[in-house]
Amino acid sequence: MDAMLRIDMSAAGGPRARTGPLGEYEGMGGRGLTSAVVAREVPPDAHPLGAANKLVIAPGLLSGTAAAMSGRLSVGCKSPLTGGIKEANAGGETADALARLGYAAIVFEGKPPKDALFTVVITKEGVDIRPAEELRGLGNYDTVERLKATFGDKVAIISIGPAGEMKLPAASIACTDTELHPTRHAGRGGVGAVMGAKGVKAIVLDAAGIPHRQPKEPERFAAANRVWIEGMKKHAVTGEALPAYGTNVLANIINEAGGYPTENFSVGTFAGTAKISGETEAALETERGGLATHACHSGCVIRCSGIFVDKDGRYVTKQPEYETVWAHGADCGIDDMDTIAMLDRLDDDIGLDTIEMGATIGVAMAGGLLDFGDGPRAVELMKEVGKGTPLGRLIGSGAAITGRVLGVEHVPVVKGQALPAYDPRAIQGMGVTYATSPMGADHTAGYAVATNILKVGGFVDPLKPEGQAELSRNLQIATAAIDATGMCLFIAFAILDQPETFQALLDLLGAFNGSAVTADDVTALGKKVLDTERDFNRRAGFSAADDRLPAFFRTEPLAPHNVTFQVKDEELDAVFSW
Amino acid sequence: MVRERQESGQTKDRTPETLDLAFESVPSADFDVLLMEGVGVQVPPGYTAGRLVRERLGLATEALQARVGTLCLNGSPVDDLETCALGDGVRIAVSGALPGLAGACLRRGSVLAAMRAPITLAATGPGRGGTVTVRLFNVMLRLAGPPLLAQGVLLDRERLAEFLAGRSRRFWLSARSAHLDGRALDTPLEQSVQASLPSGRLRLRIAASGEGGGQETLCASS
Repeated sequence: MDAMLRIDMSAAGGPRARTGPLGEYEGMGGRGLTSAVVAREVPPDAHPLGAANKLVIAPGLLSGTAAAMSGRLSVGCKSPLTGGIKEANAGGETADALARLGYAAIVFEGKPPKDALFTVVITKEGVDIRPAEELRGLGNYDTVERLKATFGDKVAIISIGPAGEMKLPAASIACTDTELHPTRHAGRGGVGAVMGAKGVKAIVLDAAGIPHRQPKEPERFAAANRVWIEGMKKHAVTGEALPAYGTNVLANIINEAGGYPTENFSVGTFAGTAKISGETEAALETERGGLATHACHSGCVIRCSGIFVDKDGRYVTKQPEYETVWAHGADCGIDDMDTIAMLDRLDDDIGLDTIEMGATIGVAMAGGLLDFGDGPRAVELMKEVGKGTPLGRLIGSGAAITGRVLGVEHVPVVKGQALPAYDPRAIQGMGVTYATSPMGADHTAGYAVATNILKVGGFVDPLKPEGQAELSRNLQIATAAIDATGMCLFIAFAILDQPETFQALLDLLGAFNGSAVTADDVTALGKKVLDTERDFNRRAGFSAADDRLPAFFRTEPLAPHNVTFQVKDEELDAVFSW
Repeated sequence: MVRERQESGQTKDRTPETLDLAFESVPSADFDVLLMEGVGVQVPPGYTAGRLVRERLGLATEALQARVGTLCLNGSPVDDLETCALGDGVRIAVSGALPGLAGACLRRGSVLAAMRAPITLAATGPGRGGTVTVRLFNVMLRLAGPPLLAQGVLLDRERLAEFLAGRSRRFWLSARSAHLDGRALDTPLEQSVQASLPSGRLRLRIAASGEGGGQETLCASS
């Protein structure tokens, strides 16, 4: 994985690929690499859909190795949704395939003349770029089926649906899973629109027969991987809760704590939660002959996903995750799992960010376009997005634009990106991360809960209300570092509680490169990534005024605890003071 | 004894009738929805959340420390279960370990507890006892559900009737016997149980039957 593939989509005579060394990007991976390329090579004032923007697709530092849970793929660009730097990442099989093919990144540059559309095929023999007119307008499921007919079922595929082709700000990029379904998405920030603007419909990765990337210290690496896997299996979150119930195991307790945003963030509890909880979802999947425990990529031992089937046992979609069930469920007042699963299927097929779409429909409900709880109309609205009707294009543009057009004051966005499934009035520290992340409101930006091990930013007394900024800072640093490794963020719980598991991660990184890696190195990596991203945003015109939650979080108390967001602006401004 | 409000507005203590259901193999998953939405448990004055977890949910001290990730009282995360006194009408929710930053924040004694400070339980009163609503989530359904159901839970008649009406044929086929305050109900149980339910609040106890059809695991009522 020492090569960078650059594809100039505006080259005379058609797209031209050239493979070269990593050069100044040597030793980087995942989010660290995508953000470095974007910050260095994209003019901060570039239009996100213009030729000057770049789309960077990068597996993590450990992707393609035998390290378990190392299958995350990072996608970076200047975001058409936020106007700032963006990294969105996804599971599935594509990071492993791209890394085994030897590429640390694919960088799409320029844009094709007119409205041309291409498929990029990457094999061990090289790169082939061919017209993709026959795929135009197809959903991700049909796109993958067509490509499978041509290239067989041993490939991994990255693609966009109609939303990406229409360059909608909520468009995602799909990655295929272990069944070659396009269910794992780099969802946030409109990265699919940038892929559409580059004229790329799909990337086919054929790594058949290529072995895992080999570490410099194989025995040390194998030993670390054993400890790593054992650590995941023995931890209550990664070894029990996530495999049994998936990420939606959170619904009941977040609702209980009054932090489950309901009906466009108007209250913190939803009466229908028990009907759409992870427990209910898993039982339904099992009863119908689906799967409640399933890995999204090879080598994952957490297996937090599943297969959702209809009442007749026919495949509908992967197990809708916590964010999806919340966004299309509680936030829209919908408590029917089959409706939510259909909306998830439409997100994946049209190629849309599930959080942005749920939040946008919630805003549309608040704006009177449809009633809260109207599942059938929500499904119709999603189909309009796929068809590209004027109303569909509005909804596909996200919550901020939809709220503006419909005259809604209550619009839950930061930097133009919709808030995820935790109300920041109940869990205030989450609000600090929503407000200050360079990505816009993002629940994964401060997810890596390893701060007590990394000890970055000083000690924070957990029993005192002060210290939200310090905690958020530490979390964002740790997360940025993990995003660079290609590791799934769900490893965070095991490394929080089990020092030997955290050490195993350091040993995996060190053994692969034949060096020693310490916690300080991880901290430095996280800080470097964040500094790079913040600097790009500053040059793109962002200021402290953008690191704020919408005003209603400070003025409207959230039932049942009747609390408002209380973290002071000065604390928000101190998050990145290091 | 449970305290019930009369039409006159007065309250009155009453011993609820007990419905005992015995199964060849208890269909635990069938009771999940009841346990997630909450069931009543009677507790004496001075009772704490810690005692409830140990004595009613059957989790010894070590298991409590290892398995109870989050406990909320009326929606507020509790860090110290031993000082969390229970009073009439409160709601307790018990969960195993949870993913996500929010899951980590809501943990008992979390290093990130500051991030949910405004909703953290500050203090409780002396704890006068009474009927507490207990909700169980995720892994707690299998760990704590069976012992709780074996000791008995309090439910309003309407809710119990609705629950029983929604059970599948498989549920009733696995039922071996039903007793109302010790009086055996006739078969088919599906009809006789529904027809026999008294008004008001009653206690439901669930047990696994032995080979001879007798009940094995009925415990002292709460």
